[in-house]
Amino acid sequence: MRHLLTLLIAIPALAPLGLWLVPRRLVRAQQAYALVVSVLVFGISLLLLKQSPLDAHGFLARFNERADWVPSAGIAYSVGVDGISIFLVLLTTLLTPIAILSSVQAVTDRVREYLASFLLLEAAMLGAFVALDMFLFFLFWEAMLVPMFVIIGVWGGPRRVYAAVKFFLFTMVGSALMLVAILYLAWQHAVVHGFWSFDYFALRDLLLPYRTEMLLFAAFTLSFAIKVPMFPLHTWLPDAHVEAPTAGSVILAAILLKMGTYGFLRFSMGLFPYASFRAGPTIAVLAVVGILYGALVAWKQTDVKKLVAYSSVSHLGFVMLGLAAAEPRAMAGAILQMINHGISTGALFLLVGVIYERRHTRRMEEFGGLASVMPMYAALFLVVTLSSIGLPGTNGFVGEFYVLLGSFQSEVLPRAHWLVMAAALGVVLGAVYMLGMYLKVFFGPVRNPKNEGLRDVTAREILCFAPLVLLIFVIGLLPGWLTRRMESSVRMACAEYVERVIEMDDLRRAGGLDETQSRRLRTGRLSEAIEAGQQIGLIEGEDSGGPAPTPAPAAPPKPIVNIDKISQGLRPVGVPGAGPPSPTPSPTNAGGAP
Amino acid sequence: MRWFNSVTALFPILCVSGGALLLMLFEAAIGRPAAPAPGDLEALYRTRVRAALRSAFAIGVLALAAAGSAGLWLLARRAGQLDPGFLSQIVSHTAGLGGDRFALVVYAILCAGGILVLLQAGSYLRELGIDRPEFPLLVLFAVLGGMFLAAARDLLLMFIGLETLSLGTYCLVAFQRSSLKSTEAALKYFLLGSFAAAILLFGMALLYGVTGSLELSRIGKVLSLASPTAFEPVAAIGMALVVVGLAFKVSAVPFHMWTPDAYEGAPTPTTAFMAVVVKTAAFAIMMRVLLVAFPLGSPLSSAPAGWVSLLTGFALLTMVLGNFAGLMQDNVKRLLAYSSIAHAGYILIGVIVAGAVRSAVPREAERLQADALGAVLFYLVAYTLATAGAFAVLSICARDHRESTKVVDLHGLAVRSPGLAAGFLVCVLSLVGIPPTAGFFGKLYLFKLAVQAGLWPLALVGVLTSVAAAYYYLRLIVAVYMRPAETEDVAVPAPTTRGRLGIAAAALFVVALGLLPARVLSVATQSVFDLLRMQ
Repeated sequence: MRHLLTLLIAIPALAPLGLWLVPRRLVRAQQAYALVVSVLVFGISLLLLKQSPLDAHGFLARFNERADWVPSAGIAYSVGVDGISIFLVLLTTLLTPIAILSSVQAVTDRVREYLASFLLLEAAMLGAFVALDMFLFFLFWEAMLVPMFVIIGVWGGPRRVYAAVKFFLFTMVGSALMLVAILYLAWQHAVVHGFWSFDYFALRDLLLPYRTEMLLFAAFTLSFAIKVPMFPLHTWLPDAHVEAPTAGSVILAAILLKMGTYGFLRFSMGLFPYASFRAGPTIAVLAVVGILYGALVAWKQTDVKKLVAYSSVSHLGFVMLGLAAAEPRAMAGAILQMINHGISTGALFLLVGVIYERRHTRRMEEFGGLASVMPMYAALFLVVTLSSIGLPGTNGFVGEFYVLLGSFQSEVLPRAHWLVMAAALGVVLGAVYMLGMYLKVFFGPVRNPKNEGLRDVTAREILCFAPLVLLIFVIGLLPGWLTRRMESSVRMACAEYVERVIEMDDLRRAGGLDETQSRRLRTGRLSEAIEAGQQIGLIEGEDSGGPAPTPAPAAPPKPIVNIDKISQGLRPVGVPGAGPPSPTPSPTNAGGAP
Repeated sequence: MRWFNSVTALFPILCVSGGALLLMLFEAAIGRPAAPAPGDLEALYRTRVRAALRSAFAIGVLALAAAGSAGLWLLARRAGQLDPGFLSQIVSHTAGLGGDRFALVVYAILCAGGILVLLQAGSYLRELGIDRPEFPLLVLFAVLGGMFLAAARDLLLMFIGLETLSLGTYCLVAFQRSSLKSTEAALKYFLLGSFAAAILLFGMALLYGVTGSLELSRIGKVLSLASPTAFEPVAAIGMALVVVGLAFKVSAVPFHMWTPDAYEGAPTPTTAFMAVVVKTAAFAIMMRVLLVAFPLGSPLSSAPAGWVSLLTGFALLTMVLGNFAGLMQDNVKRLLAYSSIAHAGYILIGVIVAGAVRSAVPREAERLQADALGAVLFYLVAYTLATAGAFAVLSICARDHRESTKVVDLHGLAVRSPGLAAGFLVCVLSLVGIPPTAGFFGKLYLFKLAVQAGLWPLALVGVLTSVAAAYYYLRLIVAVYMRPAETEDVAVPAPTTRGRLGIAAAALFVVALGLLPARVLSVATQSVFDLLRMQ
């Protein structure tokens, strides 16, 4: 139990060695081996769901691990999981066996290398989701690139090399700047504390000059925005998706893209709250542009896979909007939407793969009337399509609704209602292009004689879809099952975010917020987040509801110090130095997550 | 016991020189056998066995020297802990050759590089019919020259070492006498190399004229103690000439012109030798000369006219030009030549940081310097392994053994021999700097130090150019993994066990260093203190 996360990373990282023990001829045995390993990893990851007490940062205390790695450079092996990452971890461990199972027939060439790539990819993705040391995160982040590059480039479509190289270089450009930013942060830590550290929490507590924070934020966010991908940086995505083999597309869409949104939430917003607060409106506008642009372009596609790829651009716009809103509900919705998109888009790519395996084309005009030939397939496709559109009762609805609702109430975004209205238009467009595609492919008469004898989904394929369809309904009908586990982490993240924005604003009266913005922030609904933080024992303070006392204008600027909020407890907003006599912990339910 | 100490400290050098002499005498004594008649399988077999034994002997000698260096390193550390004077005691009796730990680490890198070159040379030379005893012999002598360079404590020994290394390398480049390209490359390398040696010699003469000493540490003392105004220009010119001479050897831009041609024309194992051993030895002596003769605080280090600004210019040019020129190459050996130029640029960052340290506390400054030079040594290890591994794949299983190996020749390698392809992948990824490989940590440490020393432009240019570099390295991976072999008409030689062993060892160490870099880094950093405190 102590080393559960390490086990999760180590098993798929080392398992590929075993593939070379299986003779080359026994392709089935190799596939079975990889499948068993990945199912085993999934089984182990389910143990994460066990109740566990939270530590001071909202992480599941039971699973935290930390060991020195390169002590002289302050690099540590430090992993942990919280409500934000837990479902992403589970999504990864769930989709890897599905991806492997789905390609049993499709990939017959160099199977060993193929399976090894997927297992290594799984290890790197899991590592990136649970890493709490910036260096470790970067390492896994970069390590993800190679297996995906190989998967696209070796087993992909006709233009696979172009797509793979483009994918690699786009990501590499972003991560190169992120590396410099990480090094700078660690160096700042050395300047302040006298020793290097890449620890996420240690770096988070650094106070940086405004301009520096903005630059570092830009470096991080560029890297994540490429991965998401956000609107102007999305051009690698359609290429990569169209050329990747089915299973590669599934993993790419369902998990790799989440790396961008997760990184934005955890690192951009976590490390640079003030900068991300200032950049929030820009990000939100780009997100909304992405929603509309992705939807409009998807509408015009004739290739089903390309349509799904552009729909990803649109859907991830919702996630980014929810994150930029920095409102607990929107944030929870965004995380939920990450999971939902993983499930429904993953399933969509699988479905497209099914038909591609049979017909070797994905062009809509080649099809038509498939519903009568492949009824079971049509039914599955319908369920997933509806989930992708966000029909109530399916998972897509819950996430989108939370995002839109939360963003509407966001205090961070100016004129949030306009943005939300535009985003809601994206929901409508989503229905238009998805249903339009469904109509063209499945209804009407069977025009193409090649489609007449198509086989319906096989038992193996149903086995791939079953867990995903099940989850579509489970999350759609019982979202509380997920949100309950996220809640404390999301609230804590939100509360800390707002707390730190306000605090940094106090420190930087000179170049910071203008008066009205500041007041709005302090008195607005965001203080609910602080309240929520107090309820779960993160923030100790007495003054929660009403307007916070205005800061003393002559507050001396604090030197750059380590504000270890968690251990000291936050002082109430705006009271400098010699603050309250003794912070009284809120008596009712301190320390207890609901 | 003093003689014992001095001999002990010289063990790796004695081992290699003794081995080389033995091999030479032995070959001379038994004479060269007549070329086996076409049908005479037994004679053919005998010549092959002899060639294999020769190279096994040379590898054994190098391995023994490397093991000896490791043992001495441990001994030196223990002795240094017991009696701080011990080190200088061993050193002072060995005629200007330092047995310090820095030199020992470089010995080990050089020997490892030599071993990797010899492992890959066998089948290549046999294919071309030039499997003559001179090859391992020249490798041994050139490595010996490199070891002299690593240990040289005065300018004269440095020059002797440099010439020993260079002469051996010239011959190795020209080894395929019948090939026009090989001889042309050798001539080019020889002429430019002699020119660079002359420049270096002139610089040394100027420095001697100014300071009256050839000993590096004395030069350092005289230059920093005496009132500098009188002879500073002459000393500065001397310093600049020495730096230029060494920059030629590490192939830093703008003294890189010979590199692509020589690398392309030379037999592939020789190319690997140049990329690995020559570069490592040249960097070792560069670090020693610059940091001992022109140490921190000397007017010639970080002043505007000092070597730091000179090298900064070289490094920026090298990183940019090396990487961008690499983008346009179709010949793999030229491509890797530009890659080796680019890597020289990254390594220079570490040397520059060691000279540009600004700290009020001397201990702090020394620690940062040690970090920087330790990072350079680490990078050299990573670079040696990865480059030698990549060249080994070219030597062994490129479809075409002529001197120009095109990217096309690598097509379909992953299907033909998956194991070698995997080894190649690991080595190339390490050159790109993708985790978890040694190259990633190497780059990381260097960039980290550049950030720490406030050398922003260097770190930024380094990071951005390594993205550009990723593109041309990706071409290699694409060729190996994603393109089918075009024709099967050229018979591909089956890779030998020796060659496989070399690639496997290189790839394995690359990954191992990428996962557990801490130990090697700490060894490197500790060793560098000996250099920094050299009296």
